[in-house]
Amino acid sequence: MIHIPFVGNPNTGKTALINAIAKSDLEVGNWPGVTVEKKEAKFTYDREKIALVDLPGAYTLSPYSLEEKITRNMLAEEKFDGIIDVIDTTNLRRNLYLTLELIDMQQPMVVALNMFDDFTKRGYELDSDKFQEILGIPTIPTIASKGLGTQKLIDSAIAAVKKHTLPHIQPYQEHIEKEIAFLIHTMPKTDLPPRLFAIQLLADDPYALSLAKTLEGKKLIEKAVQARGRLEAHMKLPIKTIITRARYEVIDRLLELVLKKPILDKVLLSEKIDAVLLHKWLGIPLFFTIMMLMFKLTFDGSGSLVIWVSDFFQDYLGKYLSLGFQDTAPPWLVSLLTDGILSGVGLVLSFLPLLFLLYFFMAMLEESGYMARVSFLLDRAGRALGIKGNAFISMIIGFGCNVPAIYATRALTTKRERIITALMIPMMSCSARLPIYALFTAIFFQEHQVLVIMSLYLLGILVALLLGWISNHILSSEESKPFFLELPTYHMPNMKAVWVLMWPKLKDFIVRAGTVIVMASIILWGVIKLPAGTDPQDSYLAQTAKQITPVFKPAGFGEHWEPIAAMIPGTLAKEVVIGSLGTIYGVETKNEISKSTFKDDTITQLKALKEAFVNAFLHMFNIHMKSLNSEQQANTLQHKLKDQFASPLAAFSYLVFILLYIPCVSTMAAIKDELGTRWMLFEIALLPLVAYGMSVLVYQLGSRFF
Amino acid sequence: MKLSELHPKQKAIIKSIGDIGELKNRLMELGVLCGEPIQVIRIAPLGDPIEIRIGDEHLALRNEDAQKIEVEAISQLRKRERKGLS
Repeated sequence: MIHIPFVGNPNTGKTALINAIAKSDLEVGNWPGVTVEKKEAKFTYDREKIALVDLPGAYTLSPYSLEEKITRNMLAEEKFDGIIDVIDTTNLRRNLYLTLELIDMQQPMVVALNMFDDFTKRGYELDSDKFQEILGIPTIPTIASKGLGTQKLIDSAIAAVKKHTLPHIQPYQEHIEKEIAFLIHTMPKTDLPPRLFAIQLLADDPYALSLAKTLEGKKLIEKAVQARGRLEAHMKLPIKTIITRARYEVIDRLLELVLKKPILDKVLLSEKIDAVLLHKWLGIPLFFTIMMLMFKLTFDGSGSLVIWVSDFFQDYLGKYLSLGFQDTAPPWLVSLLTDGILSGVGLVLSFLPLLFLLYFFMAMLEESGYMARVSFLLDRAGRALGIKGNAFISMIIGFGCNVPAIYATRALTTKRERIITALMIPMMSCSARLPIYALFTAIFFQEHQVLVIMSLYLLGILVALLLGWISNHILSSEESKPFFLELPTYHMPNMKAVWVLMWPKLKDFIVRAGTVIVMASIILWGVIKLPAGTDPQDSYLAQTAKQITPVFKPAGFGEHWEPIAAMIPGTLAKEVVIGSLGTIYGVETKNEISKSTFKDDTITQLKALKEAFVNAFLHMFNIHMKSLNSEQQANTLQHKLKDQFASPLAAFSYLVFILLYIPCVSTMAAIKDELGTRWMLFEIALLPLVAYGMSVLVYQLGSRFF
Repeated sequence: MKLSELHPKQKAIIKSIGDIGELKNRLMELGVLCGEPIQVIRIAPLGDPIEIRIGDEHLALRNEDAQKIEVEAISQLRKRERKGLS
C-alpha cells in the first residue's frame, strides 16, 4: 500500500482535490481522540493499493492550532511514501513557507498549484519549467473545483514515489547551513528527517526538543544550544526571526526568478464583496439577514418532512407492528415495541431532514469563506464569554432546534469554546417549546400573549449569557491562544465535496446519538407505562411525580402533581409535555386504529411523502407564519389547567422551568457525541438546578410586586 | 506609531513587533516581518478586531496585539525622505 498525505495551508482546496481524485472512495472519520475530521481515500491505481490522507490545514510545522498539531505529529510519527503539497497559487509566497519545510523533510514530493485559474485570471504568470527545475520535483497546476489536473497530479505523485524523486534542498544563508550541517553530524540514528529535525532543534522548537530527549540526545540538545548561541550572537537577532527571515529570503529569491506579477493589482471581487459584507454599518445587519435566511430555509425546508417521518413511524409502521404482534405477544410487549423502541427510532430519523439541511448550509458558510468573516464581525461580542464570533451561529440555530446547534459547534476551534457554547445553547428557546408557551399563555395571559412569550425568549438569552460568562471565568484558560484569523478569498463552494462530506456526518448521528436516544426512549416508556396495565394516575411516573411535587412549592407550582409528571416525558421532546398533560388528565382522544388496508395505507404514506417534499420546497420560498394556537384537545385541557395553577404568576414560573430544564434527550445525546459523557451528565445535573433556581426567583420576586 | 493607530486604507512599514507571546512567531511565519509593507483594510463594526493586508493575504488581529506592533506610516516616510533631499 502506498501512503500519500495531502499537506497544505488551510483553505487551499485540499478536500476538493482529494475528492476529485478519489470520487466515491472518500471515507470520513475523526482523528483519534479529537473531533477534527479525518478524510481518507483508498483505491487501486495500476494494480497497486493507494491511500490518500487529507491532513488538516497547517500554515507551518510549528503548530498553533489543534489541526496543525495533528498534521505535524502525523508527518513526524507515521510512515508514508510521499507527500502531495497543495498550494493556493494565488497566495504563493505564504504557501511556499510550508513547502520549504516539507522540502527540508527530503521525501518524495509533488506540488499541486491549486486554484491556478484564479491565479492566471489575476494576471500572474509562472515560469513553470524553471520552477520545477529549481525545486527538482513536479509542480502541477490544478483546478480542484473543476477536477482539472487531478489525474496528472496523482500520476506524477506515484511516479515520484516509485522513482524516489527528492526535492532539491533550497539552501539558507551560509551561517545557518553550517550550523545545520554541524547538528546533522552529531545526530544519533533516527527515523526523523535529519535536516528538518536539525532546523527545528536550532529554532528551539519544543516538540523537536522532546523528540531529542527520547533519542537520548542530551549531547545533541547541548550542541543545538551552542549552535543557536553562535547564530544569535552573529546576527544579533532572536533565533525565530533568523529562521523565518531566512525562509522568506529563499522564497523571495525563488519568486524573483519564476513569478511575473501584473503591473497593476486588480481590485479583487473578494475585496468588493467584503466592502459590503464587512461594512461598518451594514456588516452586522447583513449577518443577521443571512442567518434569518439560513434559519428559514433549514427549518421551513425540513418541517414537513420531519412531520412525515414521525407520522410514518407512528401511523404506519407502528400500526402494522402492533397488528402483527397483537395475537402472539402480551400487550405490554407490543407497547414496548411500538411506543418505546419504534418511536425512539422514529425520533432519531425525524432529525435527518433537519440535520441534512443544516450541515449543508454550514458547509456552504465554511467553504465560501464567510465563516471567518463572522468571527471577524462578532469577535468583540464573544470575547467576554471566551468564544469566537462564529459561536453565535450555533446559538441562532438553537432557536430552531438545539440538536443541530450542538453539532454546529464543531466549527469552533478549541474544545473550551465548544464547551462554553454548548452550555449556552440549551437556554435558546427552541421551536418545540413554543406550543407549550402558546397553550399556557392562551389560558393565563390572553391579553399579553406575545409579550409573555417574548419575555421567555429574552430570559433564556439572559441566562445563557450569564452561564457563558461564568464558565469563561471558571474554565481554565490554558488552551486559548492569542487571536488571529485569516480572511480567505471567497470561493464558490464545491458542491460535490460538500455532498460527500455530509452523509458520514448523518450516519454518525444515527449510530452514535441514535443509540442514546432510543435507550432514553425505552427508559421513559418504562417510567410512563409501567407497572403494566395501570392507569396513568398510578404509573411509576405518577408515583415519582407525587413524591417530588412539594419541592416546587417555592416556585409556585408545587400543589398538583400532574404538570410535574408531564415534564418527565417532556425530556423526550419538549412538545410532548402537551400530549402528556392530555394523557394524564385523560382528555386525549384515543387514536382508533383505522380499518384501512395495507395497500391503501402504503399509498397514503407515499402520497404524504410527495406532499411533504413539495411543501418543504414551497415553504423554503414562502413566508408563512406558524399560528400560535394548538387547538387539538385544547378546550378540555385548558379548563383542567386553569384549576391547577393558583395564579398567572405560578403558570409563568412553570413556563420558566419548561424553558430551562433539560431541552430533550436528543440534545443530551448530541452533547455526549461532541463533548463526551462527563459533560452530558454535568448538563443533566445543571439544567434542572438552573431551571429550579430561576423559577423560584421569578415566583418569589414576582409575588412581591404583583 | 502603532499599527492600531493607522486609519483604514492607510499603508505603513513594520518597524518592530513587541511582546505578543506566541502570536509573534505565527505572524512572522505568515509574513509579518520587520521592513515589510502592511495596510490596515478596515476596523470591525464593533471597533475590534482590525483587518490588515500583508502581501496578498488578509489577516485579522485584535487591537491589544496591534498596539504592540510598531509601524511607520508611509506618508510620514515620504515626508522624511523629502526633508532629507532638501
